[in-house]
Amino acid sequence: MPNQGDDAGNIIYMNAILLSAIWGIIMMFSGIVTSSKTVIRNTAIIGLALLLIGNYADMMGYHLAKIEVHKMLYFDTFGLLGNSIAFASTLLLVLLSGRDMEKVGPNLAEYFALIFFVLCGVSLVTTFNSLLMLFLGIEIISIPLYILTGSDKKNLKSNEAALKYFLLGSFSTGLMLLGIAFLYGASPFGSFAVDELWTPKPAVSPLLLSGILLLLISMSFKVSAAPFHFWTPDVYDGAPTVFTSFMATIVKVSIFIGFIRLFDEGFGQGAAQWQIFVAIITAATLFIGNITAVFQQSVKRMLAYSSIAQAGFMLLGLLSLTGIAKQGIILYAAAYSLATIGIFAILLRMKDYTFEGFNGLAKRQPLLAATCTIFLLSLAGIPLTGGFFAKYYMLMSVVSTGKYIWLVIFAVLCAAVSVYYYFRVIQAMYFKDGDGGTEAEPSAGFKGLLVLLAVLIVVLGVFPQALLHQLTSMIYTW
Amino acid sequence: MTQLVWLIPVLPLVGFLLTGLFRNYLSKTLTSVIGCGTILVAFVLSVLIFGEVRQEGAQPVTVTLFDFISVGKLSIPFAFLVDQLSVLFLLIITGVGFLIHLYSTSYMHEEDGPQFARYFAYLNLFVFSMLLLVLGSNFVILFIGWEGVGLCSYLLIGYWFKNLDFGNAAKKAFIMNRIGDLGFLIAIFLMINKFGSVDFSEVFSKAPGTTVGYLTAITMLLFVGATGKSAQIPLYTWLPDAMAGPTPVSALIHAATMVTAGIYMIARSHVLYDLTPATQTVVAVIGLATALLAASIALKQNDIKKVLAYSTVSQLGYMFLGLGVGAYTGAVFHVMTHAFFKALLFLGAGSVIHAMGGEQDMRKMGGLGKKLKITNITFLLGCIAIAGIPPFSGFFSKDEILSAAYGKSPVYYAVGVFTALLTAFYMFRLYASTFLGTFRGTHDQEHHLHESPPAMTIPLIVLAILAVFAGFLGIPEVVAPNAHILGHYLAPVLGEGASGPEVAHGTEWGLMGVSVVLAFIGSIWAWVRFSRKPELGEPTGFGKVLANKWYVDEFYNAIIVRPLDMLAQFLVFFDKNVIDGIVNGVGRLVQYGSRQLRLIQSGQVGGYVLLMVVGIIVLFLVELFIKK
Amino acid sequence: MIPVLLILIPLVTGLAGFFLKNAGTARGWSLLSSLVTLVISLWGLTLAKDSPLLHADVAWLPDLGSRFSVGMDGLSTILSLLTAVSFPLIFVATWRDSYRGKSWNFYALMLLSQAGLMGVFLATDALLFYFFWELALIPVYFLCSQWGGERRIAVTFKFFIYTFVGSLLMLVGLLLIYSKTPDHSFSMKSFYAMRSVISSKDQVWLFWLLFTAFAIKMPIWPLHTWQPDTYEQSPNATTMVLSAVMVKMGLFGVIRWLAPVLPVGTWAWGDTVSGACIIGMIYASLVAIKQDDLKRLIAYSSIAHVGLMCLAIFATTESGMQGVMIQMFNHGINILGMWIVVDLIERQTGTRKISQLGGLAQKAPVLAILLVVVALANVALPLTNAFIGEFLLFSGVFTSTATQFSVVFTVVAGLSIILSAVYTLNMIQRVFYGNTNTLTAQVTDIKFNEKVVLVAIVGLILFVGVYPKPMLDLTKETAEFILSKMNYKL
Repeated sequence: MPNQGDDAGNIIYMNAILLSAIWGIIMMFSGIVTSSKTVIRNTAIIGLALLLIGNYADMMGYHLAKIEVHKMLYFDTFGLLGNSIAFASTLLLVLLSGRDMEKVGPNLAEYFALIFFVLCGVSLVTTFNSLLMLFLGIEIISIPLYILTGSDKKNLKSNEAALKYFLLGSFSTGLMLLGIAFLYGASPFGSFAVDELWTPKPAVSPLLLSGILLLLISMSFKVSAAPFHFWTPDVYDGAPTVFTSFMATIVKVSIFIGFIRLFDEGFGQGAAQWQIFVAIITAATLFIGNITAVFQQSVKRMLAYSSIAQAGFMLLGLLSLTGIAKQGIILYAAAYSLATIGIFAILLRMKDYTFEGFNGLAKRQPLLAATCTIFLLSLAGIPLTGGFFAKYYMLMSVVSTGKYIWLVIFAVLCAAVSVYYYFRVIQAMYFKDGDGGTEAEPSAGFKGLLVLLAVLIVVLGVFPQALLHQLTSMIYTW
Repeated sequence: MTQLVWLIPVLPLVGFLLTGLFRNYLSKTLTSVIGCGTILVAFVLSVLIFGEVRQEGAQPVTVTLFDFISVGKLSIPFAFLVDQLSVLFLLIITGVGFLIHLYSTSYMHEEDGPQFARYFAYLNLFVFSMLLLVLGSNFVILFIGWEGVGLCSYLLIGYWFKNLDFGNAAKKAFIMNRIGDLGFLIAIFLMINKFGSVDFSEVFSKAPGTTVGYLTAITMLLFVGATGKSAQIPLYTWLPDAMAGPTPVSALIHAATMVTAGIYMIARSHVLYDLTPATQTVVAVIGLATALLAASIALKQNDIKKVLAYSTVSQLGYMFLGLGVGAYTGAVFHVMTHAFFKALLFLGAGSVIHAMGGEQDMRKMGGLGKKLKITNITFLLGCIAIAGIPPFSGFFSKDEILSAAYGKSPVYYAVGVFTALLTAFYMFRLYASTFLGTFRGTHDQEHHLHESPPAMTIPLIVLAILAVFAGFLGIPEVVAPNAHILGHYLAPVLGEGASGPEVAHGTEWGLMGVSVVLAFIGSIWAWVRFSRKPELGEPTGFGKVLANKWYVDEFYNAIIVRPLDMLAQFLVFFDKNVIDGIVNGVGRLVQYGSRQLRLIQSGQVGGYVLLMVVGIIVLFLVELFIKK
Repeated sequence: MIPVLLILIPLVTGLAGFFLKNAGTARGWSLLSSLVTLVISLWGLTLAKDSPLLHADVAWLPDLGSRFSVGMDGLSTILSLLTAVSFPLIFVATWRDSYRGKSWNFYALMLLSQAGLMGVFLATDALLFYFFWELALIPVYFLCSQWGGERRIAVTFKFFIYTFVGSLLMLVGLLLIYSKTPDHSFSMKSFYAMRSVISSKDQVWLFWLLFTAFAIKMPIWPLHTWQPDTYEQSPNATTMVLSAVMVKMGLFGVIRWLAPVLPVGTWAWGDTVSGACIIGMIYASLVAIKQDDLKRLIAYSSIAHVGLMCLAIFATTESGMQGVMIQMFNHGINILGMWIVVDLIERQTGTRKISQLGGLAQKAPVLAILLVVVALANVALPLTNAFIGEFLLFSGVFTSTATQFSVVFTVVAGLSIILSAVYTLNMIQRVFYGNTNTLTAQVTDIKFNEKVVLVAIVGLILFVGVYPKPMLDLTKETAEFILSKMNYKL
């Protein structure tokens, strides 16, 4: 059971949840207090920094408040680390692309507020111990996202995307509720607590299995796994790029953490019963994500599909549910978020989002091109980048179970396909001549941050231990 | 002394390096001195060593230089074997070699400095490889020399590299030799596989314990190698083309030494051949067939060198006949005498060509005897020798082979002796139409006609003397008992009875008589006929077939060269379109799939929901399916 | 110690090279670096086999059971030596080649690829091996796409993806083997112990996961089509790296990471692979005859030669195994010589089309002579290094007990000896003999730097050809060791 001692279930580590909620409100009011965008942005940055610190404090055992939650939430390193990654990524995102939010529309304060609320939902989803909390978290994440997607009011595509997202989202919400209901019905104790859901009866009741299946489907929808990914390209494409970046990275990976958590804690013992579905969904996701990405003409849309493809790889974690898988997810979350945020940050500065837009970038912006190359290599999973070890852990986790080798091989073949569309950008930047470039000369700070990201990725690629070592010990002692 | 045998090949090697590396700085004289000098010294050394091995009961000596290849149990030292056989060849190679080097100094004199040096470098390199070939104490060293001489032959045939036809001739020679070499190589592997060694002594000592089938495979493959190097059917067609090279080269490589490597190799491994009668028969038949075929072609050639080339092929055929019937001494004997008179003939021809300003067509010659006295006489002696008229050398060696052949089967003898008739005929046709009659060349050619300088005539004279008297080294049993010096000398290596099957003395006299008579008939007939009216017109009927060499080259082209070429052409297409096509096809497939999959991203919420529902249903169906 | 230096020096100097911002400096810098590397690898040769300096082992990824462990046995030594020798030769030979754009990046990337290659040959840890395997590939991708011919981008991309697919399958294979190791370790030792652990059934299919990668790299027919295009389109210096050294990665991979680890799989597929090798040898030789572009011709001839080496590995005989190890070195040296000549010809005449050349022997006699020697090595004439190699290879195949087709294999493969003579002599004749034309009329003979390189190469060719003993001694132990692992049967 929990590594922080038996009280971990009761005394809770809510810093993140509290702070994010509070700061969300502060941000809302900041819009009224001041109109200076700089002030607002800095407030947000401070808030995110605080969040990060608070979350870390939790891990160290310093808590703002002690509240009895009756096992509604459950805190472990896995979840908390998930939080840290989410907060850190958001911080980097804001630092890199904060200014671009201003371009979206006038209500900067509200955007930030919504982001904080999303983070609040995130910290619920990463630490839930009851299906209700999961549902709550998912909704808290989703609703602000609907708004953010449509935040570019004058842009029809943006509005359309928001509406689509909302419609399809509510559809999946319905499925999720239904699933939860089934599970509740199947549960002998009539409980929502995940660790009491699975009942090793001689035969697994169809009701239980159907419930699991419905949850699987709705979660797959949230992480945009095929065939429930259809919203992703349209929404990611329609939404203001800076928020796409947010959705594609922070939101996606933290929901993944919840995903793993649910199926590990909840149905871990019965994995054999449902993993076949995961396998099917994974295969479909890898296939559709990678193949469809090949033909895209817009880098933004390509990245949307690439995010689907990457989700396919993360799903592999569900097939093993071992410590390696959890490490892998954490590593994947970090490596994928860093790289994607970086690319989006660069993309935001580009005149034109098509591949041609990147032609000859290396001549005009060697540093941007270089860092962008590292991000792309990482996404492609080339050694010496974090992306390699992320994929490595996922493959390793499945291989170590000895099952689904066919899926592993299929996955690596898809990874080979992914090289095709990632390297198209590299080719454009380095080997093609063109007037591709940025709208304005990027600031030194911006470049500095990009370099920092690149360095982080390379460090993850050479010494993944740096991030993982502390985990491994505790995760194995579960 | 024998321990210093390594000096013999090293000297020409040094010569090669000097003339090769400093060819831009050496004067022609200096080049000549180095080129000839090294060979001369080597010859002297050979003579000294000969002095040792000719003693009674001289044992073969193995001189190991260093450990060449040793892998696992297999160990191949870089070692030389000094015995009567190898030393005899040493003498021939260095002796005749020296004469030809000397001859070349004047023959090649128009070449400018570097080219002149290049020529001598190649020539020395050849002598080096040839010595390696005969000195090697195991099959691998032999093989090294074997391919080495092939290379030099390639380089020298294509010596005038500006002329692409010469280049093609050189290429043809090298490639046809390669075909043979492959057989040789595989034979070596067979030995390694069975005996775990390629050392002569070891292989030969273990051979008797091996199945005949296995040995037959080895001997046959070795013979394949020999057919390549010694221009026998089916791999002889390169030799006539090889006449593209400078005439001295033809004399040295394509008459006296290299082409006899095959005979040396088989004589060397006669132990194996004695154990495999099947192969012996093949060797004999191939040899005989080649002798006849080449002789028949020689009848109708008009290029003076071509005639000699085919005559060489034919004579080599004789030697293989000798080997085939077990007359190893006879074969080696003929190698020696042939080296003398054929080198003589080639050099004579060279002297003629030299005088004719590069003209090689006999139809444009005639009546040269008056102008080129020495050449004329020596050439005549050469013709008599090869025609097999006693007491000239050719008679003894050829006759030894023929009588042994008779001992094996009268048919061999019949064909052989008929070939001897042809030989006499075409040689005197050559002589008559070149030196007799009236001059048929252009006026200024006639004006320039002159005897060659001493550097060319001296070798002619020396060789002529050898061609005349060398025969007395092998006086048959019937003429004088125990007078066969050579046979006696070689006995330790080739064993007693290496003169092939015995024939009753009476019959042997008879056989000699027949061949001598035929030789005379052929010679005189040709002399009379062609000194009056030489063939000038285009041959017709069967003559045309002969003139066109039985269309063998055309045949090879049709059944090997062209099909192979077409196959290659097809494979290029196949590689580009099929194999690479599949690879690119996979890529295109992905792109195509991408284009199609994109379409389901219709943008219609309804469509999405529908697809999702379908997905859900499928999953639930799977669940049911699992349940069952 | 030494292996670490061999990897670090090119790596560090390479990274530094990106900041030199000057073609001339970069050129000198890279030459200096490669020379230092060469000196160190030569120093390694002088040490005793058991010297501690020849090994290094540092903790790297404890949780993954992977360590940064490198070492030099006969095989690693001879190949790292090849790498160390090739690069200075390449830099000197291409001294006069100029590269558009930021040419200092070119030299930096070259050094990085050298680091990768060194790593591949020296790694004694499977994961580390995979790391360097990729690291060697990436710089080459950039080199070719940036400085290659007009079709460079597409061709290089195809090459990259082709090999990347192989690499990924290899990764999966290594993972599967690793997951079966009792001590959860990627170390060579644990991997070599697996041959008894992994069932024959698994070995039989695991084989292909690894072999595909190696076969693509070598390349073995029918996975070869990337090679001629890539060689043709790459800048000459890179082509030299690709064919002289990088091709050996595949063969090395089989010897080091496949045959001893999955002996049963190797043995089970021996005949299949050998068949492919032989088809490839004949096929490539025939296609080579028809090539008009010098680079393509050499590319196909290389396919034929590599096919023979691969064939010999699967023959599982001492002479075969030692032959491969030596021939890898020889082939590297010889083909380097060929490329250098091609580079020269192209720089002076501006074409590689055989049909447009001719008569060079008159204009450049020295070049002609040196080329002839190299070409003769290419056709494995005795007293050249390649003869030693091919003699061992063929006798290895012929005496093989691993297959019952050894004789057929030898004979059919032997035909390539003849064919190689055909295309090589054709090439010599049509490029060097005959009369000059407008293109070749102004050609001048080779300059000092090229002479130095070619003479060095010719020297190596003849030395190894006449006195192979040192090479044989170097490889003996390792060959026996590998064989002892391969001869294991379940």
